[in-house]
Amino acid sequence: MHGIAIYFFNIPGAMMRVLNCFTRRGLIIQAVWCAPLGDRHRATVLVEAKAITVEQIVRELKSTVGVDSVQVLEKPQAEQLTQSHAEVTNGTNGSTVVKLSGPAEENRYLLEWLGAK
Amino acid sequence: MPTTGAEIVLECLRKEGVEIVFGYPGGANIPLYDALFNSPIRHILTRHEQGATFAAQGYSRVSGRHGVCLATSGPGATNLVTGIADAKMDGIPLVCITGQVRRPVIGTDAFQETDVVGMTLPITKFNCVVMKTEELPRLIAQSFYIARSGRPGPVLIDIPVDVLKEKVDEWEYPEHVEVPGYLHQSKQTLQFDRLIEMLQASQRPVALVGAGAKWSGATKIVRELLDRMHVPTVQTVHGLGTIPEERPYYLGMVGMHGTKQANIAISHSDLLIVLGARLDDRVTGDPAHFAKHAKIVQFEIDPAQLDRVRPVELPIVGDLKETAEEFLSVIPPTLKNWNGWTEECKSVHNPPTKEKAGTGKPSPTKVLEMLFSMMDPDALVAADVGQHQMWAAQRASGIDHPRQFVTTGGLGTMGFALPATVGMQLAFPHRQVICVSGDGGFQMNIQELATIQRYSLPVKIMIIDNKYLGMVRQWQQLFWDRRYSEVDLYDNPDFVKIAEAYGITSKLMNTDADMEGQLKEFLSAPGAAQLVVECPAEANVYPMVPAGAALTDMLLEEKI
Repeated sequence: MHGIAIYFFNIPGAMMRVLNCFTRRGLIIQAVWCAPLGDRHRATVLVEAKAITVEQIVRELKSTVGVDSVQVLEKPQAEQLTQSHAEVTNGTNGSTVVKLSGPAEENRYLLEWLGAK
Repeated sequence: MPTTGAEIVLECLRKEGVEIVFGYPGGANIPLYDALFNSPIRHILTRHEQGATFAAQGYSRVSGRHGVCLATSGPGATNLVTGIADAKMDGIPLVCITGQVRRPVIGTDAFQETDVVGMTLPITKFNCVVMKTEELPRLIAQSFYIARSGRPGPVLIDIPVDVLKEKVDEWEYPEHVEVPGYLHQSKQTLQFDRLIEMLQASQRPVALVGAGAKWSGATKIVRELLDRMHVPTVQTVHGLGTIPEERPYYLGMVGMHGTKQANIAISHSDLLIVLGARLDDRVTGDPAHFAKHAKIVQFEIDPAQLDRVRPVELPIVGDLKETAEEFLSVIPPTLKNWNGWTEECKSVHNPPTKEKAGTGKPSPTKVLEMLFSMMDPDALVAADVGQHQMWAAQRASGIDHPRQFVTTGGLGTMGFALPATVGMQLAFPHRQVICVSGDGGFQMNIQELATIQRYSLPVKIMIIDNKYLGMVRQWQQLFWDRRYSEVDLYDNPDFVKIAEAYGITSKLMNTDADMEGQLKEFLSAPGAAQLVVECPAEANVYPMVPAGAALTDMLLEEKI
């Protein structure tokens, strides 16, 4: 499993162009996390692909309009992300418990959005 | 004074220096056509939106400027798709402006609604739906900038009809355009020292020139560079004309139907210097055998094009005009001499075209040979797709200017040439413009004869008519045991009568007698003219590298 973090400016179509770099090759995106990160967005994509295909994708991403930079995650980091999940349970006192694992930046954005410190 | 969205669009086009647009009106872009009614921008009404994309491409390919086309929503927009994909493959700065249904009904499957932005996302460099009228100037400016910068390519701006109608009080066209996340990569240190070392160590260097030379305006500097290096040089079909034929180191076109000299030189080279070419599979053949013994140095503007076919030892990323200039300035006076290697390359025998004699029909290769020798020296030629395209490209190998011969290389779209000549003639009204098409491709955009007639364009149309989808038939003959499946066009219409019905003079050449006289008459006709050349049905294009084979595995001639 490969993990690729793509930093892009959220101009029209940028996220779809990013994802299309994967889907046009017939790859199935296993997971994608995306959130704003300062003035840019970060999408973290998990995908099963040959190393040479990943290299091609990275080059294509780098010349895609809107993409600022691309980072291929270390293997253990990508493997860890495959275990990521979100779990929502209702507490007994009427509260809602959200358990998140996954890329820290994207989760931080979600937690902030949920009102967590 | 309040201005409508449609008026803003046209004013933005004017600011970009657009003089001609190609298009077709419909319900969702009526406001734009209403504004065009009083506009100094000239609109050319094609008879199909695909024709508009190719006319705009023809205009762009010969002039180097943006090609602009307009279409309405739904079917109008979807009819642009093939032309856009073609522009993406060949790197043509095409700007498409489509009408869209009004904003409140977007997403409701309204009449003539289609998600053209979603549809064209993978085949454009940039596209968008304009949801706020005041954003039109910025998005149009960004689109034009993106289309022509870096590796050029198509863009699409989708404008809801109510945005076109809406008035805004104030607006201005941006003087400076910035697109976040575009062309931002820091300039790498160009390793010319290393390149010179590689060059000095090389025994058998070869240069390969592609379309990047003309699009970066680097023709002059590339000629100077190669005159200085004096290494055997080959060109791709889109590079033709960058290096004129009289250069002693020039070996011709490379690739599937390239010359034997060019393909053998590449295959035996130990250093391949690629100048603005993306190494398409029609150029390389089997990548595992392409320039197998060579280190590759690739001058390339788009990093996505690197290492696609095989690893590049030394990428030189940047605009070719700048990088070639810089490289030329650091080449030492003591550069090695490769004249012996060049002579060796030139000693390879390019087999002459061999065809069945005594058919009495005009030979397609002879007709094209004569066409290229009799046409005006600065004539512009568009070739469609198929056998005639490759025969024409082989003859165009000796042209002197890189924008003189245009064809659809990457996508290989039948029906390209006839509408392309519309744009080419409008870009250069006083130059001779010639369309070379096959009987199959000609019928794919045959309706554009009406456009040629309507605007009195003196285009010369040559149809190489062998009553077959010739290139597919050739493959079926050579690689599919002569099982000619659905390639026979025995029931073609009478092309002479069709042209005449459109008001265009047309003649039939069906014997090999007085070919010169007929060609002379055809080329000197005062207005548009058509010549239908009825060729032997089973003539083949040689040399040919079978798909997926190595460049050295050329089929060289017909077994007669």
